[in-house]
Amino acid sequence: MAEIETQVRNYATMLDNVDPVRASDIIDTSPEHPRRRRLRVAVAAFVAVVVAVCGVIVLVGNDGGRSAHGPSVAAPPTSEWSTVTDDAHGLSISYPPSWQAAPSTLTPVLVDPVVPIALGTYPLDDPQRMGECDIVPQRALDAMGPTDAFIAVYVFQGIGATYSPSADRPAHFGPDLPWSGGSLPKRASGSGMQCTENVPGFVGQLSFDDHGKELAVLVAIGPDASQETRDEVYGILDTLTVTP
Amino acid sequence: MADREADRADEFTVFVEHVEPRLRQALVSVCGTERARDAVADGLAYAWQHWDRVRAMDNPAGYVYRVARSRTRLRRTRTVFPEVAGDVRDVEPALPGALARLPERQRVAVLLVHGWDWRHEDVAELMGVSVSTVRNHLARGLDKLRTELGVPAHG
Repeated sequence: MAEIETQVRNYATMLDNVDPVRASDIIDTSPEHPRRRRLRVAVAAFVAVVVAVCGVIVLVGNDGGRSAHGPSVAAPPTSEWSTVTDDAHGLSISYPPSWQAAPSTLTPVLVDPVVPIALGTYPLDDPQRMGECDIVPQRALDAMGPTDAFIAVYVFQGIGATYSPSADRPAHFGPDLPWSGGSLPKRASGSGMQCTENVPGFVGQLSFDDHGKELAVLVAIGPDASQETRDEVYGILDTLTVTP
Repeated sequence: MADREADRADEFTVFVEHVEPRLRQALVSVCGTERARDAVADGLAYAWQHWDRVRAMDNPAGYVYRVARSRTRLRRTRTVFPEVAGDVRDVEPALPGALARLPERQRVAVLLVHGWDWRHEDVAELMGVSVSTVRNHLARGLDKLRTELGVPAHG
């Protein structure tokens, strides 16, 4: 039997028959006539106004505004969802098949708070290293694509972190909660969220108490994430269970 | 105005000619031969729609790869590789299935490095990870393939 490297090399020759994509397949090569462009812009503006007006009507009809991050209708868990548990901190959370859990903590250097659970729509296998930003899983956030989303669950240990007493856990997570973009788990050094400046899209955190535990969740949503993915973020957070 | 659009199109065309072959290999590794072309087209279409931003990036090919990969993953279909053709020598029939079952990053590292002779550094740049991470993925992927196919490690 041939060595595995040889087998892979020989087999790869079979995988080269995918037709190439050419720039002309992507670009509309016919230059747009200025009059046609103006007409298109005018139509687009009209549609935008109609959509905006309809959106306002819908929001008013719902007796409450939504934030710009989309509706807070959480995706309900189904039997296809998986559950990851962290016995050390009494946490568990469920996620749909398009998500995956980090195999181990993404912030191994961080002592307080700790990040026992992290989830993403993309592989999370690159933890922070010694000497790097330790309060935020920056490598994982940097790997996030524009259509991806990311969740990290922080647990305060009461060792070195300063924790501002916060509200009880919300009944449901959604975009209209008071997500903060600038006060992630503060440590005595007050490092804040300085490691997220280059993350495109929405990055926010929310601190809350649950069964006597002091928790925070960090959420990042890519600028081109689908509404389904955005809804899944809050649906996943709603499945977070905390055992005293 | 038309000249500027033409210049952008020319620039994008050069970019596609430069990155498409390797992007295609990488996305074949991610999602198999049936879906790779759509994935490449998705990524390049996104790049063209946001060309002014993408062209200024340090690693536009890596960004397009990540866009294509994440859009492909949203479709939630299985990764499938073709059965081994009769004229391909020294390949176990179980290899395509074993490759498909590897974790995505291990599969990408194995196929790019040993299938298409990519340097570790190039794989790392595309995936946005360190070279040592690529080596780890590669070693683990090869180990899993050997175990599944019953191939002894050399040496």
